[in-house]
Amino acid sequence: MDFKELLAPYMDEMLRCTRCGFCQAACPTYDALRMESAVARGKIQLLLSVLNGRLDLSPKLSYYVYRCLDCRLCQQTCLSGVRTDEIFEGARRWLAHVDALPAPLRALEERVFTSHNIAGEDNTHRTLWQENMNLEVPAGQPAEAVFFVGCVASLYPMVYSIPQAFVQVLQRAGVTFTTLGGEEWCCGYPLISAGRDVEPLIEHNIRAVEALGARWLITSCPSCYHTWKLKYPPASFQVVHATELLAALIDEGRIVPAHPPALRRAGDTAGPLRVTYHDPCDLGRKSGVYDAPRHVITSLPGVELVEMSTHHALATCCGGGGNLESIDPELSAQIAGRRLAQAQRVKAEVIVTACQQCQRTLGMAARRQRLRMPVMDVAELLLSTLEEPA
Amino acid sequence: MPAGSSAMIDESILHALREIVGPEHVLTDPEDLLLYAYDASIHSGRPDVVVFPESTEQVSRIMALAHAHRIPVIPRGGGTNLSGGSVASQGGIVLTLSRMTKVREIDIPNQRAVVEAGLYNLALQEILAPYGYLYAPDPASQKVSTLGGNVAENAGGPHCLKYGVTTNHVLGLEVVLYDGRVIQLGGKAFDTPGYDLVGLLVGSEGTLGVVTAVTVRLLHVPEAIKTMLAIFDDLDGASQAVSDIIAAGIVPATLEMMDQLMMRAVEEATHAGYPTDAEAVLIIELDGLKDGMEEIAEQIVEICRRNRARAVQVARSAEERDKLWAGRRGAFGATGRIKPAYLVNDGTVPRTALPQVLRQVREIGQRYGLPIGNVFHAGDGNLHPLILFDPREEGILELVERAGAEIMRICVEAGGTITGEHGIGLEKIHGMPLIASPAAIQAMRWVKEAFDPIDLLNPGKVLPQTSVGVPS
Repeated sequence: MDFKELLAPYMDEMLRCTRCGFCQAACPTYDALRMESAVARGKIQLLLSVLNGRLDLSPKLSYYVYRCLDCRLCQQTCLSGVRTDEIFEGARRWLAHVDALPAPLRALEERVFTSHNIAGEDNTHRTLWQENMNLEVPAGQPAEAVFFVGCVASLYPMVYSIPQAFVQVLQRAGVTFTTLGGEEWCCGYPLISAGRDVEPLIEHNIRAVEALGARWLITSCPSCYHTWKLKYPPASFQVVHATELLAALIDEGRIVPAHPPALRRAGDTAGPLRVTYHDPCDLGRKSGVYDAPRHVITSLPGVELVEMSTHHALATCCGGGGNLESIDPELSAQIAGRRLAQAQRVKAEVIVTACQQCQRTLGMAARRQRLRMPVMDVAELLLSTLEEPA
Repeated sequence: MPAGSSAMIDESILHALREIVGPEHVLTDPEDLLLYAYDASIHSGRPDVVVFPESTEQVSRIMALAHAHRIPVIPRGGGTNLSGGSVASQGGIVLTLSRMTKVREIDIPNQRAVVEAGLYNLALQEILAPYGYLYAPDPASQKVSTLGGNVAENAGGPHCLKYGVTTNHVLGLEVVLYDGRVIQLGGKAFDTPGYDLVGLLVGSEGTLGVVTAVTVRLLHVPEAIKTMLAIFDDLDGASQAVSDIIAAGIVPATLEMMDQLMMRAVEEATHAGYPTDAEAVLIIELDGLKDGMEEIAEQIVEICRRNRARAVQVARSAEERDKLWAGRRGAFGATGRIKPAYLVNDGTVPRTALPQVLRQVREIGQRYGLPIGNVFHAGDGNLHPLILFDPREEGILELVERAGAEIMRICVEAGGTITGEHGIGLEKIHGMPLIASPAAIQAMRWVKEAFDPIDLLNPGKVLPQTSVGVPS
């Protein structure tokens, strides 16, 4: 059984692709590979061929479908408005259904369903980022707001600084919150993106948050945000991205950024710090949050926001989107390098983003290139302006 | 002697190709062959192998190999061809130049650049912009069509009304011949002695040699630009205005027309502000010195009014102008909003014949029951009627092709020709006898045989298969 009927509903949408090839100009993966297999036009032709019986399911076909950032710039710029999100989600559901997941994604699935996090670690390790902080981070306490930390920020030390900075800002603003501690499970994003159903994860997480009587679920992870907001069924609480909360706290005067960020090195030029903002795909293009992070950045003293050549809805992905890093880490790094080059071209001194995955991807690429350009979260930059530098 | 068939590509040849470009740049799996079996036209043809060279030397070695084994070679850039010119209709090697994107030289004082064939047209414009220069040919597909492809098709574009098409801006070519020899034709100087082989190669659709690098002429970015949108409630008025503007001796930078059907698709895609209730618009752009531009603009407004224009709007900012152009350039791609497929004609007619030919195109559409949209370089008289259809409908393709052939015929009858810039490729090959006598086609065949006596390069394109002799 090839279950091609799972693909059939997307036939009309796929036929709307006129093969003009303009998606070549949008696709970061194509930009790096320069091969038709990377681009939406090509993937659509492959899927149509499967439906027409001209091509059989194969590991290579699966690999080509999954070798994608799921950044949706192809859809954003497609002149015929082809819904590549629906087509590729459908294709991945089909491939998952016929057990054609590439090996790295199968391993990821195994980890998430057994350990409830993407790293395959003991789920109680989710709180390790809180150690060495002069601050008690509540877990599992009844509170109005639940901070949903996300797998990457909880389990990858390179980006511990994001939740650390965020909770410090919350504390200064007097926001009472709790985390779910070891009861936080992966939101399911990478598996949904791979084509799997994640009902057990969804049910667990909603129950865990509702049990604490929360009115808000706050997350600094755009993928968690997108998933909670658009993939989960409506719940009794509101889903808020960290940057939306930070912008509101500034507007209400509950935090006052009073000092320029102390990021300059000796010998750097004077004048405001040139900061560029990298729009995470899951937060910007896929969830429509563009202004809140920029509002925070432009509220900071001694900071000048400069936009890269692509931004807002047309922003290029950092290379860490979808499951590409699992499928082809080298390609992911190459794409990150291109995004860094955009930041360099506008002479940014700092790249600020609002996503731990973007931060990891861009940060690692910067390190590889020996590029002295810090990559940090909005919360980190904000925190640096709250007190006089030592 | 005809070139070999696909059966000739055996493991030893694949091995040799892998030696030349590296194993990761030789593709033979069914998925990959399918991915290189199409372009932006309705034609398809599966290659036997796809290779991605990154240097002229590699292209040369591939051609020598293909020559030794008589394997057809189909050069390919961005795969945006609109006449089937880049599909492997007879199998063979698809030679993809997408990795050859180096800028070899930017010589601003002499207003020249030397770039490799795989560089996108728009990428070149972006490189030149900081210097205050541009490369004039601007095909609508410029963000994804390569300079090599532009040369092969002698690409035009909206601004070619004033500045001329690709051939007017290419001064030199690096070409790999059918047997692998590399030749340099022309260069930075304006003219070179001997036959104008650059002129011959431009527009030869990959049938005479593989262009690997191009020396282009650069122009200074104009001092001022004024973009106007003239809105008409009838197609006749719009096309008469085009004819009158040209007849008045005015040469705008662009004089593009879009009809209601296309505006609807484009507006949905780009929200550029096209009036979807109007029958047609003209996108008229003036560029050059600021002095005197207003007077010319007033003259144009007056001509449009005289031809019953409802309004003539002026783009108030660069952003507004860019939006209008994004809509125009994206028009073909946007047709997927109406029907899943299109066949685009590319006939060119004398400007005075525009009103009549557009009426005839409309009549053909009505007679065949096929929607036809128009978006085209009106100032050049270069029509692009897009016949929109759903390939799943029984017998539709035959109907579309017949309608297409009729449109070609009326263009020729009006004193025009069958293609302005998209090439003959596979699609218009049957139309060649409409514009070239048997003797003229014979002369073209002699040229082909001089450059490629064993028909290795993009076989089956451009020239109809007729029994012709070899020059004696």
